Amino acid sequence: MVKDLQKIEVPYVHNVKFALLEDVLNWARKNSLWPATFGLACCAIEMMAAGAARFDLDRFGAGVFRPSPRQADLMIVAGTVTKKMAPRVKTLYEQMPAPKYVIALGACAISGGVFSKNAYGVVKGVDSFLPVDVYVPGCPPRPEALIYGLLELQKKIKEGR
Amino acid sequence: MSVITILDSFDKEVLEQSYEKNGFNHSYLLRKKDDIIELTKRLKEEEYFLETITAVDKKEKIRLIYIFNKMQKVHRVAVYLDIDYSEDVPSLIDFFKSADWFESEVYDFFGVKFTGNPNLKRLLTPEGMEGYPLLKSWKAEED
Repeated sequence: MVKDLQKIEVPYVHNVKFALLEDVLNWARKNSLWPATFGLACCAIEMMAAGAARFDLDRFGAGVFRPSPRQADLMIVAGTVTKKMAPRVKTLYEQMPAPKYVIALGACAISGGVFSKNAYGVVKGVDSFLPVDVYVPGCPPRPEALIYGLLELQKKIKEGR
Repeated sequence: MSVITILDSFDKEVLEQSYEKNGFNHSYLLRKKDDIIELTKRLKEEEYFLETITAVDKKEKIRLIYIFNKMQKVHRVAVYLDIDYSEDVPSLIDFFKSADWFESEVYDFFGVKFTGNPNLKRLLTPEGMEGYPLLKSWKAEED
């Protein structure tokens, strides 16, 4: 009986690979970016288009828009951040579990956009209070631009930030 | 009693009246600011409601715009009121509850104080904002 067991071949033994744990984790992180469902202005419409069937963010593992920041690890700041909204955005960011990433989508989130001069209520660039990883320019950016930004972010995560 | 008969009894200036041009059936500029109370009372008796209150900075004065409308048949009446900067205006809150937020908004952006409104506050601008941003004299801080 014991002899019979020893005869059984283990077919997968040649497929074992060794890697740093951090690399494996980063590989997993980059392929399952879960964005928070969170839009502020017209860029959110493009974000929805990117998530829907035609552009399909799910191909990159980033189509699972989570209704709670506690389950998300990617914040796409899609739109104009007003001075009143900024503390709420910051709270949402702080509620996300680490590691967490931020994409600034569109001109308003990058620099204030059309509101960067003589505006009384707009934050000029979301990077003044959030650590932004990828900036996606456009007003609003096409869904392809968001996908490109996402791929850049994946590249960044793979390299270990 | 039509709105024209109501408005006839007030000291006023008739402005351009063209529904095609500006969407108002009647536009009147009141000369005395206290008349707005009596006028609102009369219009309310005729089943008009207050659509909005807004304002324009005309550089020498602030022009308040009261817009009334009717549910049964669209009939928009714009009542203008010219006031000085930081001049107080009687509130319409006794006639229309909705005047509360309209007046708060005008106060927020133009600094016009409405006497008799117990709930006047900065409604839309960020907390701790100084100055009134829709005045021509207001300048954004450059950063």
